[in-house]
Amino acid sequence: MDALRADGATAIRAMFAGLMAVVCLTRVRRIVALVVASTVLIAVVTPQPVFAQIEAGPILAAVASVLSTINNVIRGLFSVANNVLNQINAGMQAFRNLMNIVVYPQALIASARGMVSSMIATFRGLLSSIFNIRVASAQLPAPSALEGVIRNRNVGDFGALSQTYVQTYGQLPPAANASPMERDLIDADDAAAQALLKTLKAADAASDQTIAASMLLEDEGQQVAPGTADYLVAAGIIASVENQAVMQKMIAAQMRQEAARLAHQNMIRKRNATFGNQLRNSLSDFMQRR
Amino acid sequence: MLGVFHQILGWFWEHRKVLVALVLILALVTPRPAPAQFGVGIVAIIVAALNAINQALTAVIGGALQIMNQTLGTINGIVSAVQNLFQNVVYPPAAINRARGLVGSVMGFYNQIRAIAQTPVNSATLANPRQLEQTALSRNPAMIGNLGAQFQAVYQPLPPATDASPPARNVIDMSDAAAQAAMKRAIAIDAIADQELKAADQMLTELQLAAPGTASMIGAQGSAWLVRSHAYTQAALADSMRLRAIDLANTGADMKFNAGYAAGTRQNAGTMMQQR
Repeated sequence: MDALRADGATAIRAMFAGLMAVVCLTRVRRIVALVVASTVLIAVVTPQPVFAQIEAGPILAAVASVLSTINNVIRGLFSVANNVLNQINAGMQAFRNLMNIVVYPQALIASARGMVSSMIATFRGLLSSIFNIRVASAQLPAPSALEGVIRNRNVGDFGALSQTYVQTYGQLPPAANASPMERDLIDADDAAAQALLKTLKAADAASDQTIAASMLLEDEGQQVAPGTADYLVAAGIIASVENQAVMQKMIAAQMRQEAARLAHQNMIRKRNATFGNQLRNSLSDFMQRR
Repeated sequence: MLGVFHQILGWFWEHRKVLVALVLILALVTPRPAPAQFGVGIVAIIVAALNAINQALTAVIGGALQIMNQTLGTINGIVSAVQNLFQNVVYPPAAINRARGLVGSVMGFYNQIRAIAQTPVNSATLANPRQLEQTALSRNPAMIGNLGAQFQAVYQPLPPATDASPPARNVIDMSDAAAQAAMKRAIAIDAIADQELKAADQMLTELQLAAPGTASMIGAQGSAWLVRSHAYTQAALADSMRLRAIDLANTGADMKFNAGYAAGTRQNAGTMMQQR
């Protein structure tokens, strides 16, 4: 409202000044005096700018309200937030203590690594020396050679095994010396025996690899971090699965060998039955001829 | 140009009174700058109020923020310490890489074991034993069906009723069945063992790529396979023991037959002596 009134007064003053300027250009002297007088009069009657209608009371009330909000509401909220932060701080401190003192104490980490080193020092050499005790006992050349081959833990000399086996246990008899049935039986027996001996050589070699893997895992245990021990555990468990597979193969080989032995004995029964029947028939013929 | 300037100055001189009057009028009617619409007293009150608000902000909010800042600083220190513990002690990157490398080395050992386990061990030379041996060592369950005929080709069929007594035929049939079953089970066990080795290789491959937090998950899968593998080993052992039980039963049967033969021989000898 005040702004509108001020704008109106300014416009009137401008129009009047313009009119006076036109008149002045025509009748100078007379009008100069009139203009001066009018101007002075206008200057006197023009309303002076007024001060805004602001009072101290509402300002003070608003300030008091703001201060009340700050002191009561915001202070309270900050107090709550501070309490929450203190609780978080206490929780974090407890978590840190839990990790440092209970879960991953440096002393126990070092102790666990030390235990691995200690066990390596105590058991590795001892077990190795016991495991590698020589048990070969054969005296004659052929059995000594066979014994050497079957105990050398090497899968690269199966040909040597067959050769020394034949040198020790003899060759398959020629067709002239044995019936086809007997030759089949002898060949099957020899094959089963040799297959088992070869499988055992493979098992020995696998055992060596397994021991090497276990030593590698144990060596790593001296340096492992608490968070990476799971790798070793998992690798050990998976290695155990593989060990079980190797053991199953050994049991399968043993079963084949025992089955062959059982079949061999059974075949002797069958042959005895056949021979017995033949003998009975021969005796019967003999008695009838008499 | 200079002439025009003199003309303008001349015009100004001629109309100097009019111009003076215009300047005077303009000076009077031009609105004076209005003073700000606040009195000095109000300004003082507002300044005081702002000062009070400032003091309250400084005391309440500033103080509280300072305390919170200290607490957050402490929390930050703890988080940094825990982070350092995990990064440098629990999960150091060098140890993680070394552990993964170790898994690769273990894989290397078991690759050799797999190669060793697949080394051929066959030795038979004659046709029938060779066929039987090929099937028995095949590690292929699909070949189990061939084994019966090949077994009979080497170990002969069940003797006819004219050649052997019913008890003897029973023992022979049972022994053949046990021997054939053992050979068939051996093929199955070999095949199972191959699958276990393959599964173990897959798990080790995955373990090489695992994060420290997921390595135990691979370990859990390995544990499951280990338990299953133990079950297969137990089953294989049971088959082996069954074979030995049949073997023992055969020994007992032989003694029973011998006792029966001895009794029959004694009876026949007595009868012969009486007839004489």
